[in-house]
Amino acid sequence: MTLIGFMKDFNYYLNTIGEIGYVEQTTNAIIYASGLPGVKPRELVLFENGEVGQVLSVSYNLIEILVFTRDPPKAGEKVVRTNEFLNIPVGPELLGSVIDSLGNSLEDLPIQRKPMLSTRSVTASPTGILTRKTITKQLETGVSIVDLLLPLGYGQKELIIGDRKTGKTNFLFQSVLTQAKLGNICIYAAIGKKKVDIKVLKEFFQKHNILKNIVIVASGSQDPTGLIYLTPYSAMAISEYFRDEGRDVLLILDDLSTHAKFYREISLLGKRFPGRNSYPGDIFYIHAILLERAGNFTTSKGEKAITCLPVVETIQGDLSGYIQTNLMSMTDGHLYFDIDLFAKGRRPPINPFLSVTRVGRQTQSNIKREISREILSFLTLFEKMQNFTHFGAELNETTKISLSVGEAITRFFDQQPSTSIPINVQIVLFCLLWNNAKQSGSPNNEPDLAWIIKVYEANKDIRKMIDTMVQKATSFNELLGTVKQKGDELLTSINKSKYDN
Amino acid sequence: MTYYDILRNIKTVDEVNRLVSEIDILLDSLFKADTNAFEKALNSISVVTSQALKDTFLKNNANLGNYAMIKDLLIKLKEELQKFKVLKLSLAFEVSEGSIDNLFAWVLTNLGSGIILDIKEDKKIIGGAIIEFEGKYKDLTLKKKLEEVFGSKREEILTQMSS
Repeated sequence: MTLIGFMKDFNYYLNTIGEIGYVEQTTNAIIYASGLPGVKPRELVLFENGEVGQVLSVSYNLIEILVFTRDPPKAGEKVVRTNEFLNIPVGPELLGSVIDSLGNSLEDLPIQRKPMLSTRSVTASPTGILTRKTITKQLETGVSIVDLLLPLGYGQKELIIGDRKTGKTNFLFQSVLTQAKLGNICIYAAIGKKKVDIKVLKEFFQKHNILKNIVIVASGSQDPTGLIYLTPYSAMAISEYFRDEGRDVLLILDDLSTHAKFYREISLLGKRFPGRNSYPGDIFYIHAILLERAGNFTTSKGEKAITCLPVVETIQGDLSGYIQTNLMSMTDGHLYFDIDLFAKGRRPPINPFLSVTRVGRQTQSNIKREISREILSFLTLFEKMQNFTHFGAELNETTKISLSVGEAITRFFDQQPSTSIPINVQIVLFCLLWNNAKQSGSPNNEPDLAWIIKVYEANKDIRKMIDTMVQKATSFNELLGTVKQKGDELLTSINKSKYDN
Repeated sequence: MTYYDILRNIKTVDEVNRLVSEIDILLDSLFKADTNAFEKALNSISVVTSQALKDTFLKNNANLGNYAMIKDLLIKLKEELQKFKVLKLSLAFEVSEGSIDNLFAWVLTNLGSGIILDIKEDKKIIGGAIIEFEGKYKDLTLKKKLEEVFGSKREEILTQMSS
């Protein structure tokens, strides 16, 4: 059942509410109507032709209405109040489906396997402080550089920022893949995307058999502006539903710079005063009220989180853009996808020095924090050393070793777009690399990563061996020692299972 | 400035539209090279309007040769005409002049001045009226009553019809 399915007909509202209005002026997504004396902002209105609109603002003699159709009603058409606010039908039936921001299926098949009887307010206000909890659990993304260096927590809002075509979407795919495999719900809001991109999105999830844990809320670039504007709000409403059903949710908002552009279009058509870069004055508010709905919450079904990863595009690596800085100030950090690192072949090209995670570190165990610190300080040193090489200086042996270890760590963080590495595997592999590097200075003996992941997921004994190694260690040095002792045995077991197969 | 007489006689939206188009003719004539264009235009519009406007000009001490003042008066009169509130009525029959007078008298007594009628004929409503005023909507039609009866006593009616 769609939003329209939940609504009554025009005459019902006309006779029960007893108020009528007339379309006076239409400008693409915005309509101005007279009448309807009791209408409230954000209320839904219904046009004579069956189209639905949402009241944006109310002035002395005209009402500003946002419509969700490409063919807006004509001047003179009747409009009625509904006394209802924008709700989206929700239910477990949504899992595995691709819907628009009003809950209509975008696929040929109907999404509903049984009727969905509950609805959620699309534009609900964020809940208060009393419902919120400190972020304490680490969220696994399956991407080594993030999980080890820039950890995220359940309920964190982490901005994904970078130029176009720098692998942001690949990172999001990896995160969704990891979270969906862990049994969490993932909501992917594709805002103003090309239809082919939406299809690719679905096919990727389908290919990895995780679609049953995913809802894609999508709007195409050709869709009505009103629908595109609503997309992240609808996705958030669906996330809230699953959170209240006792599930941890990962919400991807791809991307908010497009959303801001469409909201700017609506505002300019609505004759709002343009501000910086012609964005309206409330552009901060419309994003803040959305992102504030994410977090770690106390629910009737325990502590549940909506982790939000909003995406924003930069132009030529400029982090100081208006929307970009707005979003940085609303989120708990950002992962910066550096175009220069991308050009150097780093995948994902996340710049650990320009990225920030504000609440993620508090979720790490001591040992993970130690590893993170160790890597970061080494990488800082590595960066400095690399600068020396630019001058063509003759390098001593220690510097050469450090440089080769640095390169090995950089390679270690390189990851195929669709691979998700379990965090304990990341730690053990890093320890192997670190031991090897410290011992011989030649960390080139790199194990077959894809095979290790496969074995870890399939073989219980090896999984237990790796997990125990990480869990029992009380410090990084102790873990290094354990890995030194048992590392060869572990690799032999992994290789053995490779040859057995 | 006073337009009392001319505004008092307006009862319907149709009359407002007619008067506005006549004012437009007069305003256009003010800018024509022919010096007698305004007088000619004044004689070309309806006698009632022409007389009412002449009275208005007289009351406001506007000489017919003083085009600036005439233009000012006509523009302001047009603005005044846009200020009327509209009471929309949908009726099942074509209303006569007499009925309009009666309806307007009722409106004037009960709702006050500054309100005009917009009457439409809609045979589908069978009887009664649909009233719309300032965004409020009331369906007091026979059609609606019958629909309610058919809705609530559907089974009973069908049984009686089949027997």
